[in-house]
Amino acid sequence: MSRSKRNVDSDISGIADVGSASDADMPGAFLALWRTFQLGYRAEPKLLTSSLGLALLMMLPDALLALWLKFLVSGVLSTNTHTRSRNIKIAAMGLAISVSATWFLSVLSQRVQRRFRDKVAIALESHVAYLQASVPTIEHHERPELLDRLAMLRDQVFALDHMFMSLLSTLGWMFRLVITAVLLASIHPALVLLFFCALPAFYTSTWRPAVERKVEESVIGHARLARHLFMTGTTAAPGKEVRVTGTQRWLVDERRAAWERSYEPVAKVRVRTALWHAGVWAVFGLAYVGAIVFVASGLKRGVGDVVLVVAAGTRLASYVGATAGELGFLRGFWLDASRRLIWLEDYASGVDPGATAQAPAFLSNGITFEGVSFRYPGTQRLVLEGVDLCLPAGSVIAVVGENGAGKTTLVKLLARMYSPTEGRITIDGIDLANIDTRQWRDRLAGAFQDFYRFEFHAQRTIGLGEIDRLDDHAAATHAVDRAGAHDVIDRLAYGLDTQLGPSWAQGAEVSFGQWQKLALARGFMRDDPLVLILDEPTAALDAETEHELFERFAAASRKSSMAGRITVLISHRFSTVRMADLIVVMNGARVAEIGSHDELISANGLYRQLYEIQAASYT
Amino acid sequence: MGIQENLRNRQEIALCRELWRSAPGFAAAWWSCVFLRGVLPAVASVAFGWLVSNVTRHASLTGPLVMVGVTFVTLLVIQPLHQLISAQLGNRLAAHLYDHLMEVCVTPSGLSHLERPELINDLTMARDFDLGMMGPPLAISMDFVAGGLVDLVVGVAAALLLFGFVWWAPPLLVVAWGSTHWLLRESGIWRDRNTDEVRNAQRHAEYSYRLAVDASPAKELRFFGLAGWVTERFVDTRKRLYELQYEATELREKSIALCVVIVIAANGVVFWVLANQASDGRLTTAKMVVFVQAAIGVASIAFGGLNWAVDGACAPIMALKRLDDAVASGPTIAAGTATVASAAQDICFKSVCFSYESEGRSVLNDFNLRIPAGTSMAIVGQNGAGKTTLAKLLCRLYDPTAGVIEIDGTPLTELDADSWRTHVTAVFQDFIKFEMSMRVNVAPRGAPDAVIRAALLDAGGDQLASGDLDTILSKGYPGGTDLSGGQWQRVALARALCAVRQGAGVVLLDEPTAQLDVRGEAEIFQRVLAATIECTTILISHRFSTVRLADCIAVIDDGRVVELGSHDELIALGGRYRTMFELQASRFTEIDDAGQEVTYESL
Repeated sequence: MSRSKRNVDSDISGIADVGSASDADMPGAFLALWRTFQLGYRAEPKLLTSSLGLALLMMLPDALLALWLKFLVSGVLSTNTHTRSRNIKIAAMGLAISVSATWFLSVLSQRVQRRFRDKVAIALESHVAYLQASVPTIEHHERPELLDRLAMLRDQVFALDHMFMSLLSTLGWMFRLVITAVLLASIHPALVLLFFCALPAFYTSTWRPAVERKVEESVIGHARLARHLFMTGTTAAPGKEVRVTGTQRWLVDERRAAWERSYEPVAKVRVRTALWHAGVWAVFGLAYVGAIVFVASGLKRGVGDVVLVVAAGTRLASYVGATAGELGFLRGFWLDASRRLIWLEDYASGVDPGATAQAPAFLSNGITFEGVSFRYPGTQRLVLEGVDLCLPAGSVIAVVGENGAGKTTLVKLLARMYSPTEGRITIDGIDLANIDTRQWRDRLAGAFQDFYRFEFHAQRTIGLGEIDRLDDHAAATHAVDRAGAHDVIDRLAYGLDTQLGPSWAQGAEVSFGQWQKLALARGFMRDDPLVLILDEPTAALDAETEHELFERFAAASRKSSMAGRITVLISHRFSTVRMADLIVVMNGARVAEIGSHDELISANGLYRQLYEIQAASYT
Repeated sequence: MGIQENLRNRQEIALCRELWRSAPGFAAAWWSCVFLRGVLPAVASVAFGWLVSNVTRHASLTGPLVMVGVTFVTLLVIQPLHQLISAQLGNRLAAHLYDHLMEVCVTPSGLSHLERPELINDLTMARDFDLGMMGPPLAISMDFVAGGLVDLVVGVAAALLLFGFVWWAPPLLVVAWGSTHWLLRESGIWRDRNTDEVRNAQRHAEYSYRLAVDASPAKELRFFGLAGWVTERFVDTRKRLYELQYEATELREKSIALCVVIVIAANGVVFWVLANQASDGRLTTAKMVVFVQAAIGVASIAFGGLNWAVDGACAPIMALKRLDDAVASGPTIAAGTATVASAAQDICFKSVCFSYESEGRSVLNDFNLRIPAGTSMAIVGQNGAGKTTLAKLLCRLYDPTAGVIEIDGTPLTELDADSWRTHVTAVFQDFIKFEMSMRVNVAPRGAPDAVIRAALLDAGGDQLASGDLDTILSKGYPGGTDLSGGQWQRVALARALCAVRQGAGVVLLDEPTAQLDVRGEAEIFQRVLAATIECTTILISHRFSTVRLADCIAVIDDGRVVELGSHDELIALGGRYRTMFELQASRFTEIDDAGQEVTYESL
């Protein structure tokens, strides 16, 4: 017991060492922007180009309003009676058309952009989904700092298509800024300085989101807890216990408290940055008033120029505001998402070293673990330490040991969910690291303790075990046979064509044990795997089923031994374990004993000790 | 149209109401900012006119400059502040709605509202609206809502100013710009997005997406090489959604041309008359400048109004409203008033029938069983035989469809549910793993440290009992650690045993040792039975090594008890129990050629 305690302690200290998420390895802003832009262009070249064109075009009539206004005023004040009336009318009509065109072009541009956005959203979402799903290892699902980064990307994909819109708007606003600046300069070059007075506003609007994001990330634990408690309170499965333990009110209060903890710091920093931002704008406002004084009193210009500087200045303010706001969005939300996306692209391509060796067609020697050690990324404790094992071709191997003894890890390494920290695994002499992961997995079959409840038609829930035969009824029926899951299928209203999961229309309610049988059937879909992995696949099954299953299973594994198939079975039940050809007894992170049942019983070691405890409870 | 408009109106009113409820101060500030930002541009136009007037008359510029400066700086400063208020208000609204949903979900004593298929969509909406999957979160979208309203007020304020020019100009421009909303009301907006087909496609898309990116399916997704298939499925459903939307909005694009004509005509007339009066000298330059700006300003009406963000913000509110109604009118647990006195209770099922509303099949069928106070009863049977349903009925998560469950002679339905539950404790197969401290996990409602540690010891978690009770049991938190399946099961058992130490007299164990290893299982179950010796214990299990330790065993099949008795009695009976037991135990006898000292003769 004292050993186990140490393990728990080192577990805790190990995790504590995990550094907080650092953005050091995130790609640069412009690079990310550029690559995302390319991605959008590849997906929808025409729509992107026309959106861009319209975004620029729609700025023109709007920016020209100030100019028309100046013409109008100059017209009114002109003394040339000959052209006066005509100029006034031209300017007025110019205004009328500009106002209408501004509106029309914006509606048009919205329509095109919406189409583009909808389409590019699909392209981007599927890109993100595929990137995450195709990373060969599952490290990114288990390391907190990567989890946080991905959670944001996964829940904010919409941010990416907004990014395009934001980018287009930013370009549009900048275009207007240039036009306005030219107009101002036409009065007096010094007025361009007004533009520089707006620069701090640009700065604060990009500075704000970064500061706020940092605070948000620092309280993400509280936010996650709030979400966890929220889901606990609002979903059915935990609902049972919530009621029995009478923790309803407590949950509501704890969630609220966790939310407050995640919200307060964010709210505070928002106030701080908003005040700075407002202050910076006030400075610009004063500079603007100064510009009017300069034109009206300093330069003693006429009404026409005063009108222009006021009109253009107001526009300048709203354009700078819009550009800054858009940049803020771009920087704060959209750009961040695009950096994450590019990071994910790089991560996904970096994880797979591009191994190309083929998996053997059949096993002649077997699988060897050579000094394999493993620690989970970001932790200190070795889960496996110097494991040397030889799994002969054509044998059934059982792995036993106490909880936390690294049994499942052994299997995860075999399935290439992780690579060993040290040592190597060879398949008929070929290093597993050199074999193409995809291809290797095509030759694996099996089921896990923590199986997933795929809520499809039963046919597919099972058929997923061999994607090429997804809808093959005969194959699925065969797999059901092997898994002894008839009773599950027979109970379903439409057999294999029944939708599973009560949250779907006409979805059948399936109990935990039934899900487990379905998972087992899925694991038996492949006919000729090289390795069959059974990681406690029957923990929730009842006695009769288990019996049926293992009779069948033993027969099948004997028959397949010609192909050299290796069966790896993890179990707590010695009744199952003892029929294996070879039993591997794990203790701590190491292999304690190897041998057949009889050999291990005679050896009088850990195996015998464990065996007798269980056997005793049946006598 | 009338009904639809009505619905829409109510939706916006609901939004206003919820805004006020979630944060009255922020809501008031938010509305004030909308008003100020809407009116100040009109004030600025007037100030501008005054400035122009003084420039032409060579009068003092101080007054008009101060006015221009003040309005302009206020406008500039108020915008970031409004954005700030929008963000805070949006966050508070979301929190308020989350709180509301929590209340709706946890308040009913029964469980049926969380499992009714017809409520799933609304539940999903109310749970996930602020995650940014269906649109931007409220903290962002409130700013968009504000933007639309500000534009509208700007346009109206400008129109009011224009009354100073000529009486017919404001109505003409307002109607022209307003008509764009009316003419384009259908185009682009996807009104019928709440059909079953759309929602179904949405759920399928979401499901596939989650399969691709979530952690729980990750292992099998890779093991079976499903990445491509899942992505394809996602793209297919997403495209289907897009097509549905496209079909729904495509037919309504014609009206744009008509809008252009109306808008140009109305603006043409107003600006023409303005120009005429200005060239005639009937309008001073200053007034002309003011009115031209006002006439331009009215266009804001076309840009403003209740935009898409409003729909997004209202969706969860309306979903919650429907949930509220459904829960209020849905099936409830009978409200009893009686309380229970003694610690251990005599439990008696009398002709109990039960079927879930969503399924036709009856799960329990004339079920009769008596569990005397202070004894332990094991329940065995095949998967789906109704074992877990028994547990749910006993916890009063559902009431029986027919028949009665009596506690010490009192029908369970006459007992106050909360008071009854203080006497019951349960470990379910899918027990809760709180991502919180060990202390909370063992005693969610609080208990002295000594009791918690003792409960952990009772559950066989020796090393857990001596560890730090404040360690958070999830890796996703700073300093957090993850427990193995077996360790979690000990924690869940400890939770029940802690409740026993605090007075619970009925203990329900639904597969409590499925994830424990050999040493753990044998050892723990003895300990658990010892700790609950005073209680009425019900054990649901597949493992005969644990089942046989119970005082009495009930074998159920097809919703009724088929065999009842102690282990020895049932073995002697030679029925179903014996068959099942021998099957499980036979793994030890059958091929035991080594013989040794392990004997199985007592079977």
